[in-house]
Amino acid sequence: MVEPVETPPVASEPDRDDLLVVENLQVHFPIKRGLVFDRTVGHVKAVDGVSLRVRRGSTYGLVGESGCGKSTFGRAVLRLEEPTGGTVMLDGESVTGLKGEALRQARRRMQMVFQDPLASLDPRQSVQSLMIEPLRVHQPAPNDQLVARAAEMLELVGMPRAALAKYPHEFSGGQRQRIGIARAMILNPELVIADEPVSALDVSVQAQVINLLEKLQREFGLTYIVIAHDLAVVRHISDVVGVMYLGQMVEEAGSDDLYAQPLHPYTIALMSAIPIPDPEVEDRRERILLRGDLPSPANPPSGCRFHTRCPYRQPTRCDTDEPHLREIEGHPGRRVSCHWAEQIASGEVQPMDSLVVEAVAAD
Amino acid sequence: MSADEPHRSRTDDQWGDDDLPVIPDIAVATSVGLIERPPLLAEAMGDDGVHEEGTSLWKGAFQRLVRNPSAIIGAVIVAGFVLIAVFAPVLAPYEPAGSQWISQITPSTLPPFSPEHPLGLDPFGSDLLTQLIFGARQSLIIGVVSTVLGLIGGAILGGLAGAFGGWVDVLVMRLVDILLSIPSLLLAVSVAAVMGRQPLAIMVAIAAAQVPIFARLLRGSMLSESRKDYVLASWSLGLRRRTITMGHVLPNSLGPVLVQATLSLATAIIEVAALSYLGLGDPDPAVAEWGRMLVKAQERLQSAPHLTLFPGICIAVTALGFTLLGEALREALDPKSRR
Repeated sequence: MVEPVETPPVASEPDRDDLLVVENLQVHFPIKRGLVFDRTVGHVKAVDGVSLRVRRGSTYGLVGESGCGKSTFGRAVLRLEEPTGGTVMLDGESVTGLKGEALRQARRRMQMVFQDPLASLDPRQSVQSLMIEPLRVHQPAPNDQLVARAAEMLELVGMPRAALAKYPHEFSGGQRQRIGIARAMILNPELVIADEPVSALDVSVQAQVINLLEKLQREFGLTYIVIAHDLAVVRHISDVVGVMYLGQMVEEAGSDDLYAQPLHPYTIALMSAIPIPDPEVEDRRERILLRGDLPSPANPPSGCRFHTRCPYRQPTRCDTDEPHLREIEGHPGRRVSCHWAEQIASGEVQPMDSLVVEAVAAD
Repeated sequence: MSADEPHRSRTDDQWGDDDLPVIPDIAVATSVGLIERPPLLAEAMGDDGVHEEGTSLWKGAFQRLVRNPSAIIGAVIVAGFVLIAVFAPVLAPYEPAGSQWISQITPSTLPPFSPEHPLGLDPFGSDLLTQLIFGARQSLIIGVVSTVLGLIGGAILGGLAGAFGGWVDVLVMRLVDILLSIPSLLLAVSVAAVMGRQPLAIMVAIAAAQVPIFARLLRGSMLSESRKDYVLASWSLGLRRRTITMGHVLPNSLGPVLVQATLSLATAIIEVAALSYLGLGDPDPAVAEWGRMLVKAQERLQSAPHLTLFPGICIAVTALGFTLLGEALREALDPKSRR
């Protein structure tokens, strides 16, 4: 693994307010080939040097199109996927260094909410057994106490106590996700990573689940990382938003700042795709089209990874120099990974005309 | 509907996510602890201690099974077969393997069907119906024991490979590949030949042919289960590896294996007949066995075809019963058919 030349852009002085500190996390999957003996012919760089900090009690939103590595990042933080490089610190303790029993004990402190609530619940287990199982492993107690605790937790997420005797397939999608959330929260975790928590649900149920997550956060002082491709969901729930592209972070900013003025070309293009709920403005909205598909993470483009699809691409630097996250003038507390961020922000650099279309026509 | 008011009334037997009236002014939970709520609402939410039972996966599968006509036909055949085998001494009109009517047999003719012998006599002077009824016993015992042996052997091998993976998996699966590369009947014949002519030999022989099938099936099933989200969720909850493998992956992988076991019973019954036909069965000629009855009837195929026909039908119908049941079980356990 080649370490990036520049130091990780995250300031490295310890800060007690940060519950989670991720430095330069990498997850590279080997590509193996060979008839008899497997030989590694390359790596899929699903996550390639991502650093971030999440303040205690806040919500960090992670967005990006499918295949950008955001789910892998979430799993690597929880050690459900083995990171190939970098460190993850939870409350000052290294998670990446833990092994065996110590890791198993530490898992209590960080939990995951899955995208597909049915797939993430064992179909053979009743809700009671699903809820009790983690308690039994981490906080052994007489059965009736555990059942009472499970019932309390179910009520907290708005499910009736009678649900204990039922099985996952007997519930609707929203109810299953509530059970999934209750199960993740029953161990009183500090960090919860929600991987697309609502994208498998009906729109009518999405808001309920999001509100439930917020309510639980208020009550238990939870810290969230919410991974999603739905920009509206992320905007609603997040304090800080990170935008990922092809295994790397391209922009990170406070939620309101990011949506008010995106600075990275990729973010600008993403934001231009959001419809505006005002018919007159919506009619005039222009949309920047992204050409082509996500390049292969096994063989990322040279220089800036986004240059192959960038509407603001410049003849120099873009395809040769790799940009790094940096703060730019006039926008304190934001980090952007683009050589031309200042010029784009000031309007000096404009997107290619052919890629800007009327939103109505593009849709 | 806001999730700040997550408690709502229940309709008859299910809770909908939408379209249900929200009950206003309820105490929203402020900390961990039971929520105070009006008695009416508490009753509506099922807090009165009346727990209704959910439908487990197996229970649901059983409910689908009894609605499937081919399952019922299969079950009736299998039940009839088992009952006949178990109650053979009661059901059969005579003692098996008797030769008290040998005087009525000539080298070229058999006496016609009569009220005393509804299916006639066999060439050794015993009642054919009695022989057929006692033949069911042999088929059932050998079929069940050999399938269970094969299932256990295959489950141990496949379970090891599926649970540990890595070099254990490679080693076990290469062994299974070698077993698979030998034609199953040939394998069974060799085992029977090595062990000599005894009933156990046939069972082990048939079991040996089934081990690789079960091993492959269980391993594949475990591998695909262990990649599912609920296993990942179990890891993230910090469950022990043993609990995850034995408590989640293995039970969820058993469905296809059990279906295969039912189907294998049919094959086993056919193979028992085949091995007996080849002369590898029980050496005691007094023991009635469908496969051997076929052999013995061969020389009279021209003059008395019913001697071959009846055992043949018995074998075919029994195998069909297990196959129908197995296929129906497969359908019932298929998650796609779940409603």
